Amino acid sequence: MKQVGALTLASVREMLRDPLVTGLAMAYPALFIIMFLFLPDLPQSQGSISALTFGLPAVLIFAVLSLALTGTAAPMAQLRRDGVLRSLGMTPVTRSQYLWAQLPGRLAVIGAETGLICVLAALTGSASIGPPLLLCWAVVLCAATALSMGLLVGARSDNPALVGAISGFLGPGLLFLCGVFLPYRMMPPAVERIGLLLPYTYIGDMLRGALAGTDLEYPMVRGSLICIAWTVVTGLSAWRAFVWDANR
Amino acid sequence: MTLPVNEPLIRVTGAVKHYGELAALCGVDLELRPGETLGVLGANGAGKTTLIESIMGARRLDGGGIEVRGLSPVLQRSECLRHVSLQPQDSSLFKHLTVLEHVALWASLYPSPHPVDEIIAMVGLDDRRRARVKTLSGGQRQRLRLALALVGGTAVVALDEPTAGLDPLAREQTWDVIRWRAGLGAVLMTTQMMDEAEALCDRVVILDAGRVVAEGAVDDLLDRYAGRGSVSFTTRAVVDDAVLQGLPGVLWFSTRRVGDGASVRLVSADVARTRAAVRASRALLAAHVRAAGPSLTDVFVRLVGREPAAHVPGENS
Repeated sequence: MKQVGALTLASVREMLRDPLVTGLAMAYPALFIIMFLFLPDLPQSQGSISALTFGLPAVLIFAVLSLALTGTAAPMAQLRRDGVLRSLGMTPVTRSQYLWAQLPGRLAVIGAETGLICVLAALTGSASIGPPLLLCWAVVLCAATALSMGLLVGARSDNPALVGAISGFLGPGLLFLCGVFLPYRMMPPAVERIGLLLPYTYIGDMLRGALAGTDLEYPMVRGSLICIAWTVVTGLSAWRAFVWDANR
Repeated sequence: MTLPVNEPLIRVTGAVKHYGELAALCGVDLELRPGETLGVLGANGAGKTTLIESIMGARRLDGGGIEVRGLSPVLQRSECLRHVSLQPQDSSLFKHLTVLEHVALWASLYPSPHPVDEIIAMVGLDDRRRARVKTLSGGQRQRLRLALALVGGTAVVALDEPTAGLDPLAREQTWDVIRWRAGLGAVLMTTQMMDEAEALCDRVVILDAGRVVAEGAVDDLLDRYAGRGSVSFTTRAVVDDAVLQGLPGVLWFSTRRVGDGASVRLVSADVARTRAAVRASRALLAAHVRAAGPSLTDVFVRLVGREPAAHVPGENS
């Protein structure tokens, strides 16, 4: 525990002192909220919904994905390229200790992002905060699925530019496939069939329920199980794939 | 795990490592015993860094084996690395952390660390303890790496080119720190600076192209290969090997072409007579004649056939 604590502290310090990681994590939600403010209302099964209300889950999920991919995987690849992970790999630290230590600081940032989004949404009058437990559960699932995926993307590479490029496609791609950026009724049916296998379809649904007060479209148990399975598979894959040095 | 007192702390047997078609290690054997400082000497690409990183479990051997206190660095990595810490030659550090935060982090990773403040002061970074790594000079980073290797309080400290890139004063300070550490346990160090090996090591292993070409106590190697000392000079004349061999006291010699002249090194059983003969010789046209006592440089040149580099840009074999 002493080792994980010390590594966590180091990870938090590195993250907070790197303006690219924390700055972007906070800037994303604000920028997207401004963007959604200027979009027209979107059609729903019953009437229409304002773009901002529909977009709030997308803003939150995208912010979390950005932190997990650009703010976790890319720095990890950079540390590997610089040889920092090689140095750590020649100490008694285990890879699971190192990976666990990446989480607490980022979870704190995700908590702050959620708070910021709730405040901004309340100020713009677009949110009618629903059940707080549903919001918390959706954020927990979002953080778990995104961070485990970020650790997996950064598990082996020592090329931060490549990881950054993958992250740049992966985040928006997942959100489109999961009907978070645009509702499924505006996309071909095949997209929804793929999206039903991915976690952010259900997380987006839960967040819409929690932030906009809409009814859930998908069963929460099924969505939660898919998110948990995704987290376990990507998390274990990250642990399995992780290397201290890409040229071992 | 408790081992008998004289059991080697590190045992390398028949270590083989290839990078593609390049053979970095070709059957290296080595033992590090409690209380000794062992130097691994070699030119760039000799396999020193590969050997030391294999001992640390950072490289997987293609053949042979390594044990650290009876543990495998690969299969029992975490347990093994509680007993040995490394000062890597050129790896980076967390650029946003300070000196103090680095040393405290590394101290927390080991079961019986030294006091953090004591180690920072010892490597001469006391006035830079709050400075972030990205603001440190190259030499200061090198000393920080040394501090990270020392703070763990491990049974073995491995140092990969510990004074590369340091100015003479910092080098002397680093030597003092290594001597202090040698009194607490075993030290394994790589270097291609022969004076460093002579000053610090009890025993040396000389590597050339991944093979051990000599091993032994420094004094034994000097007795076997370095005669009573050496005479070196430069010349613009075309030097005949027979003339050099015929000089009084000469045991062996090496010549190196430099521009349109040559640099000659004679290892002698009678340095005074050899030097006098060199100066008196009209055929040699010797300039810059220098005599020196027996040194590991002579041993190295004799066994490896070329002089070690004066400066260490960093081996990555």
